[in-house]
Amino acid sequence: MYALRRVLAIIPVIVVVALVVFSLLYFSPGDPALVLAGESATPAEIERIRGALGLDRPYLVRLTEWSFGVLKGDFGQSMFFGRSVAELMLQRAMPTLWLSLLAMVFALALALPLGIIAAWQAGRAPDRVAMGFAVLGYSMPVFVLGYLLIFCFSVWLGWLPVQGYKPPSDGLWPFLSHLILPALTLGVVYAALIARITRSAMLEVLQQDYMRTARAKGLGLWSMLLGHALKNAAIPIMTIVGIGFGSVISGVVVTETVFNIPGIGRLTVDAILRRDYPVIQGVVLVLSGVYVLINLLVDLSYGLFDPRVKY
Amino acid sequence: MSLIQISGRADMALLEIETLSTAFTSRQGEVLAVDRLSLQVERGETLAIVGESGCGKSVTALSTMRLLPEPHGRITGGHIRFEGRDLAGLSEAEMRKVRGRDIAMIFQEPMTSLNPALTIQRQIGETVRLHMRLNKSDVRARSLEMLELVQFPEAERRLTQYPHELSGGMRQRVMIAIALACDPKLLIADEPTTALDVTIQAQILEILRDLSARLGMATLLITHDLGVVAEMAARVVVMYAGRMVEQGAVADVLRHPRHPYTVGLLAAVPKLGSSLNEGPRQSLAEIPGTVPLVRSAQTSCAFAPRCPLAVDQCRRELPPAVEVGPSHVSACWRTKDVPAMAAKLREGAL
Amino acid sequence: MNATVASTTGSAPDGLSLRDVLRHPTIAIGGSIMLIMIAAALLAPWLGTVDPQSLSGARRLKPPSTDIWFGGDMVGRDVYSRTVYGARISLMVGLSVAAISITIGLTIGLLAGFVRWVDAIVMRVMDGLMAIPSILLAVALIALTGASVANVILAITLSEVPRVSRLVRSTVLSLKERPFVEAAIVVGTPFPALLWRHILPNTLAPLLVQGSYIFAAAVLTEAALSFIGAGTPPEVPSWGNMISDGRLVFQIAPHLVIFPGVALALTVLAVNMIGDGLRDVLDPNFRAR
Repeated sequence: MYALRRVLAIIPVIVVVALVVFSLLYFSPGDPALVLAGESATPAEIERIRGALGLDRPYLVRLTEWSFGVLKGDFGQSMFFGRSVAELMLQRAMPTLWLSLLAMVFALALALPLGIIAAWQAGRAPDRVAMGFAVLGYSMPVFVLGYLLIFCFSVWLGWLPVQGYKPPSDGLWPFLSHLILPALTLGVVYAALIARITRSAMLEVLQQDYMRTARAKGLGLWSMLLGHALKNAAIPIMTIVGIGFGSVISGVVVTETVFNIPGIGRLTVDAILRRDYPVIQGVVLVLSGVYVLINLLVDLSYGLFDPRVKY
Repeated sequence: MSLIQISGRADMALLEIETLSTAFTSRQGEVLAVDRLSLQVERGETLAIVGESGCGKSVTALSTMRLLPEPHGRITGGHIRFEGRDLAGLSEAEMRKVRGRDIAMIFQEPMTSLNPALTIQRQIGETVRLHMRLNKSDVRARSLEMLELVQFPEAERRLTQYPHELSGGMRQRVMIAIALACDPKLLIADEPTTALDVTIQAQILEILRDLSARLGMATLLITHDLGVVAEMAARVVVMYAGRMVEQGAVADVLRHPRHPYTVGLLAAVPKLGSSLNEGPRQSLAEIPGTVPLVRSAQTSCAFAPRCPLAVDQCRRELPPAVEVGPSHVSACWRTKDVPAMAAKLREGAL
Repeated sequence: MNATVASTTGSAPDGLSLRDVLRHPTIAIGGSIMLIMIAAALLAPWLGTVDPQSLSGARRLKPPSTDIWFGGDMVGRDVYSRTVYGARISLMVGLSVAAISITIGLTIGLLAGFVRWVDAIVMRVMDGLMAIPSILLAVALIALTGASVANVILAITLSEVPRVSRLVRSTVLSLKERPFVEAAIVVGTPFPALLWRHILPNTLAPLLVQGSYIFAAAVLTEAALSFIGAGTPPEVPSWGNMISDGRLVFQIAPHLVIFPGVALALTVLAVNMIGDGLRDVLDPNFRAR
């Protein structure tokens, strides 16, 4: 029941997102017909193309057609690249996927220990240091952090390449070495967010009666923190992992520009600079869909941590 | 070698608390929750500590387990000797080996004392695995055995259940199973039945009494309920404002109390069918005032402000514990006048 | 006697004085940084700056020196002057977004909290808007309307409004359950009085905290938007634009990125610190235990 309700609940969300995104294209100032027809086209030719593309039909008709198209994976044609938007996005998907995946790994690897230690040492120096880093982390603009890291590790120390992307097929080290800095850049903001919630969730759990029971059993510190407390703190942590993924998506757009990675984010920026509305529309729609889907998965995962959640 | 000899000595008490003081730092400043308390628990014996809430009985229990909420609560003086070893001086790592294996504890709130995210089997088995180093199937067998020991219906099926699927009484049985899983020498039970229904209370007390006798385990029972004391314990320590005010065999203390506070506590117990018919009476049952906050080592009797027998000496000097009968001790300047006071109270004349 | 009474009321959360708030360490530090930033923004023309748009071949890509404090950019504009003037853009965007989104969000949230059918419809729309990552929503809107400071403010506001209205709505819903509000409703307190006396004062604290976080987020988003070319017009001296301009030459002239970057990070940090401090002081539930 819970699962069904949660799945059904995303339908209105998707509808609103789709409406917003479609309206963006509908009201966009550029005329695709004009672009397609070229500079020397006569008004009659442009009108013909408009008719062929169905651009002269009313809002609701075009909305319906567009929606069915999207459901079939047809996001329209790019005005600049002369390819379908779906094709373009697929081609750019892998670097972004790797980048966000590695960023998530970095973020969790950084945030969970930091948050747990801060909660355990609440009010003492390690807590203050950890939370100081957290505030710094989410106050740091992604691109400033990116340039700082490039400066340290690539320009000064020369350990890692400055920019660019290599697919995994080029070998593990070239692939990873290009990805470490952007993933770290992207992961830090995310980590700061997760670390804060981890701390407050753990702090609350640590004050529960059952943690005293765990101590009375003679358990060591780590089995208490990891074996007993973390699972009870997992739901708020998972929730922020889901919600915070929005900041990763926003961060991808910026990070890929800083590190010159040919992913979805870079595609977005190129599309903005060229006023390529169908591409902007497709990217916004797909990334929002991914965001909604991830949060749905997070909601559905609650049962793994809390046996009281009924599906 | 010599250590083993000492701990094996037959005349040594299992647990010997000596002039224990425990302080808490709170927003109102430092509070002395336990003030130079001494008591002994013999092997296999059930000793009850009784008193109003705030008298320091739970803090005594937590001090013994070294489970005081850090950094606010800490032991400021005295010794807690368990089989001759002073627990107050042990490191946290050494103390971990004592907890759950030599001394186990069950708490007042069965609803919140079990981890809601872990199965019953995990919560019982974890202690066994930790202290007894059994393999996986033996851990399961032991967990099952413990559940059966606390008369848990359908134990096998319920091993994989979670606490929210159990009633309060069932959860307290699981707590007892966890506590007894490693055959502890001492069980500390802090108000084990206070949060339960009357009928469930009786069942849980029955299980506790039965098991401590069968396993030859000593029990330190913390309660505010003299009925529970009468039913469960051989000896009782009455606490007030962090200090022992009276102790002795349960029969002696309950029948012939020699401290005005004990008399008051006894009068506060509703006697079936009696209190309603006797009409209004002024008694210690409504002992005026509350347990005072003690900030530093006491230099006078803390009960004096509420005591009908209090004289100037009570307000000036700390009453020493004096023997008033065979192993019956009372810390009062006016122990001799207490029986008369109790008698008057019974007649409703006071 | 009087002294003890005063001291006990002074420590109670509702007896909070402005002095207590200003004494809070993170608020004090964050507030001081903010004061400097505000002063820089207001007094920009008198702080030894030149016209942030003026070009000078002599300044082109010059590193920082005693003459040219923060150096010059690749078309010869003065980085120091642009950084100081940049504070104006960032603070204006932050303040406007915070003020507008709180005003709109408060209205929507109150409506949703009290009118059932508004709740059903509006909250669905808000959920939908929240599902679009904020930069993308802003990018979409700016792509539509064209780059200008006003449009940037509008676009960021749109992504913050749902968060505010949700917060207000849930505060109202939980307040309606509280005995003193229930009592006020039962005795027939007129709605405006109910709102003014019971609801608004209790939403103020969470809104103040939320407002500072929105301020910080808006400053960050504006900079990010400008950086990817979907923000303030390129000629406007905003920190995001400066970093965007500098990124192509940052290996040879890192000062083009560093100075506006530090100013940006410092501002956001200061506002976040104020937010954390306010949350600490205003909400006893979040107090460090």
